Amino acid sequence: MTRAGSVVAVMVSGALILAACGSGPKSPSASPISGSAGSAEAAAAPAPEAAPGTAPTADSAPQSAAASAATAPAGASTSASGSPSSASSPASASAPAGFKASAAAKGGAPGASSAAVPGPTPGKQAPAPGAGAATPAPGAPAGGNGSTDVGISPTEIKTGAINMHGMPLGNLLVDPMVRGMSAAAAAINDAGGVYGRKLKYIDCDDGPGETSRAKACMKKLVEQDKIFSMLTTLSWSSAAIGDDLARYQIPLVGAWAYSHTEWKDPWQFPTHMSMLHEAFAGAEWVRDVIKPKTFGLICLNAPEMQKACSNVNKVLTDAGAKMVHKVDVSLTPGDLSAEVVAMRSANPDHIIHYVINPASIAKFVVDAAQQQYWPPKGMSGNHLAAEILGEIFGDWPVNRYWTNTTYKLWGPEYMATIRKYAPNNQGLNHHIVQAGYVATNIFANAMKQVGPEPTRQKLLQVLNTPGAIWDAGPGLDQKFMWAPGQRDSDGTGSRSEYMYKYVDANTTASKDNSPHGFAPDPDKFNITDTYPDDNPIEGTKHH
Amino acid sequence: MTLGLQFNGNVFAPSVVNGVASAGLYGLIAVAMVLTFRVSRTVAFLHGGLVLMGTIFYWWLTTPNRFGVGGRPGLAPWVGTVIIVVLGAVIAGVYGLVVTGNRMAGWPRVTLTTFSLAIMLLIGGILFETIDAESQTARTPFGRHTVKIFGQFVTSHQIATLTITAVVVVVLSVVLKATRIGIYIRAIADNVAGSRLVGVPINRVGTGVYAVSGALSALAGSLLAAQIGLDVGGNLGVFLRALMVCILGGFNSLALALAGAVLLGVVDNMLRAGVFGALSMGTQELVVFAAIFGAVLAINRFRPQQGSEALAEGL
Amino acid sequence: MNVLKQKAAVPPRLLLVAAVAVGWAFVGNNYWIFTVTAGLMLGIAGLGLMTVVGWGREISLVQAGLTGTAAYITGYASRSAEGGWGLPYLLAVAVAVAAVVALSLLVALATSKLSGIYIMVLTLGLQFLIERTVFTSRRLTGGITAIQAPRPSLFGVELNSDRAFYLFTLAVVSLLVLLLMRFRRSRYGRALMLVGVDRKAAAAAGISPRRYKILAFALAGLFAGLAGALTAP
Repeated sequence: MTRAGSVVAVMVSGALILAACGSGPKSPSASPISGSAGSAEAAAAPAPEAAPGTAPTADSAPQSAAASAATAPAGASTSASGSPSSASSPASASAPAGFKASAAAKGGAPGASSAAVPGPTPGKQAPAPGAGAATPAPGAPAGGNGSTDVGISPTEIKTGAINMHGMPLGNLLVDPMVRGMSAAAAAINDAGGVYGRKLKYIDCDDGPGETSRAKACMKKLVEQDKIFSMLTTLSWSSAAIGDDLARYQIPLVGAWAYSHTEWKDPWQFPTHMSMLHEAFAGAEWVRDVIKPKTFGLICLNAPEMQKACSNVNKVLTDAGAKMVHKVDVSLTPGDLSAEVVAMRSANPDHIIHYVINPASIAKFVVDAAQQQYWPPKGMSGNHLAAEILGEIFGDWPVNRYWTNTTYKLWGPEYMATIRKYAPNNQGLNHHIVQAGYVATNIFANAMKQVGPEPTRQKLLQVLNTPGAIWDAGPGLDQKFMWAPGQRDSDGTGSRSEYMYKYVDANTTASKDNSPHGFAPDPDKFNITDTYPDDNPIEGTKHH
Repeated sequence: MTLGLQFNGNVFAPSVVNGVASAGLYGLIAVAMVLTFRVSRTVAFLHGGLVLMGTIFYWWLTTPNRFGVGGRPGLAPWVGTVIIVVLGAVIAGVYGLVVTGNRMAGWPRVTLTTFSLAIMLLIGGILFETIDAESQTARTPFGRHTVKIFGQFVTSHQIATLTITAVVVVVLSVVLKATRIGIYIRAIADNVAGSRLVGVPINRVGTGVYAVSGALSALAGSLLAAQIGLDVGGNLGVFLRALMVCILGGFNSLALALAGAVLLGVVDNMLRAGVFGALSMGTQELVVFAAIFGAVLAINRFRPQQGSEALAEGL
Repeated sequence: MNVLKQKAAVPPRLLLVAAVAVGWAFVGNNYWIFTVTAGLMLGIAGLGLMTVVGWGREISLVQAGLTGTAAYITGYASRSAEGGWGLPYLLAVAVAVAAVVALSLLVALATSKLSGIYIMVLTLGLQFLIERTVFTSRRLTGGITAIQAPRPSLFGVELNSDRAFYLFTLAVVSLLVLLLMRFRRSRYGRALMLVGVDRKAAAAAGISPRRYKILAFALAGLFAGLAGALTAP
């Protein structure tokens, strides 16, 4: 090696050491509002006594036990200190009112020492949230300065999320969600925060939803940024990080439930119906309202969506309808005109899509418009309640397209908060923004119920309170239950949704915040999935 | 994976029409790559970068702002197209000046190919990180009127793209056969050392050819943005399909490259439209792969001499 | 004597690099350790690409597909849940590597009479094919939601922690680099490089270009397989 090469080697080694000592970069996509939602200077939390504990796994399920607690880096944590613009907001900042959580059931007082241990899911032994773990006992703060747990300081509560900013239409779908959650946090902070502590939201970008990047983000958020809790994570990897949540014993409030396993995961508290249940609910609506004799399916070529499509197929064929054609699309389809040709040739009465990615289905719609094709009884599918929809769908599907969504559109307080604290969300709100907003508010409310000395254990106990109903807020008309055995309750967001009809290509909300371009379906607005949760319909075979 | 054994005649004609209509994009990119291969005996992945640049920059130039936010100029599609074409020519011209110059011309072909691959990834990565426009579609300068041909609606944009490609192929074929510059290009393609000896200005010719082909790639990008939309993966996929198409002509024949584009477009559309029954995406890809592989072997068998030395040496 | 001593001694700079490469993992945080480990795995795949592109001078565009295939096969073979085979990790690795090397050899044999851009384009086609078939198989991959493959335990040593797995990966990388260096200096390596530089000269010297191209692809497959096998857990 030459002398120059030696120098380079030493410099690179030195850089590695410096980086390893925790002075690495901030989250690449830290929302600037996250700095303003939180305090400008966060007091460095003392090194926590509660290191990620060992999960008491009984079997050898594919879940890695955290055998070693990582040594906390000695350096100060990197805090995203943005300008505290919230300090200059008007005093009349309205808190998100009309939001309640009621522990209605017997013995459901928050902070109860015995929370029910959820039954283990097949192949997984999760540690019991709420059971004793390596966290300080309630009422005994770790430090004498209000830092009662990791991510809690006298002035702030740190939360984090992993979001796939790199997904197709990411700037129109993911960025607004991050802004929406930051807006919710800002509103809460302006109203005094949670016992004087400001909510701080740290966003980590896992690109197009890549699992390895999501896991790296988990490590960064938990071990480097030292968050207290996760909030809504909009990523294809939201189920894959389940093992990490269990290992770190960290809750995720507001899972978007792309995978149904998120509803079964005791560490996740979804604020959105799962795709599989949406498939059932949507299929039952089609069966009862559209009553097609033949139908076509458009499905994302991802196994979860293929499963959803199989279930739709079963519901409708059980009702006597026949599937005449199925189209598989990728996340990034090019031209779908050939698929339109095929669908038109098959001539279904109605088409149902389970694609999740608006870009893919928008391509089909645009190509169908070009071919002047539309099924006689229209098209329906999930996940497209978005203000941007009209711009990408255009006029062609007006009055012949329906979409089901978890929340009512749009909610007066929700829109007021977004308009005030996230003006860039104008024309970009959608149901996952709502889910993230709701998650932030529920989190804050749960933390209020926990009390001024919060710990993760206490939070979990509150969230798992038997009979507790978590309301989404005024105008959103949705509620959730997460206590063990109650997650699947009728009338809650795991089973019940709303069906909207696409009635105008201008889908931007009106000035009075009422939805425009979307109207409640006149035949059946409130839709439900009546299939048992562990339903026997698997349908995992490829077509 | 299952192979359908049926034939659905009712979608045959529309899928053929659709396939031919979509061939224009592949063909334009393929022509650009064949040109540069002839003059440098390397596959210029740079064209992929120019296609990406064309899509995203064209979108940025011509798409109006939403609610006044975005900072985009909102130019007319025609103006945007001209700017993109000029930009493509300039970038590719500079690249051509460098790689056909004395310094890099002697580098191993695989090094130059890898270099151009890196440039492509750099362009795509920088642009798509800086300009947030994934999955959006741009406006077209040709309008969206439709014409029904054998049961399939074809847009004016698609017809225009195909027409442009056909005209480019014809013009370039004439240039290559009947002009001095064409003779220079053919000479370089056959024997670089010999061309240099007889005084062919290799660097100048190379730069010019790269500039023209760069303009074509960038133009293809802008047409792609209006037809399919913006997406790094999807747009690169079109470029890589065009690369596969070039091989059918041995990276030598413009007419065969265009024919290959039509073949690929038609086969792809027929499979997706279900002419041979409902096939899974994997089976469709397998059939396309087998068709191209088979065509390559057949062409190699029946035209083994033409350019084979250049192909064997070059990349 | 002095010459022997010089040959036997490990250069001090190399010792320093080794010490830093090992030592930083004991002070670093898991995020960086995880990230660097991922980089090392990509590096192994890159080493394989080097043998076919750098030494053999053939552009192969299927390396990513091979690496991914090996990752999924390893995960499937080593996990017990979701229909996996539940094999011991090393056996799962062997299965994955064998499958990927076989695939790579298939490509090499199919294109042995062709060269240059034909190989490039055909490997590109194979990459598309793998993405649309292997990568979308729910049984193999678990789909978008991904199925966790267990971190292995080898010879009584648990590799669950990020640090332990990093050190293991580093050891594998170091071993592979050493092997490649030896190979490069061997007559096989020199023959491969001659084939890459000048096929005709190699043939004139009695070296079969076809055989060595196949060897290059096999090596590329081997490295892709190992990279994928390490990626799975």
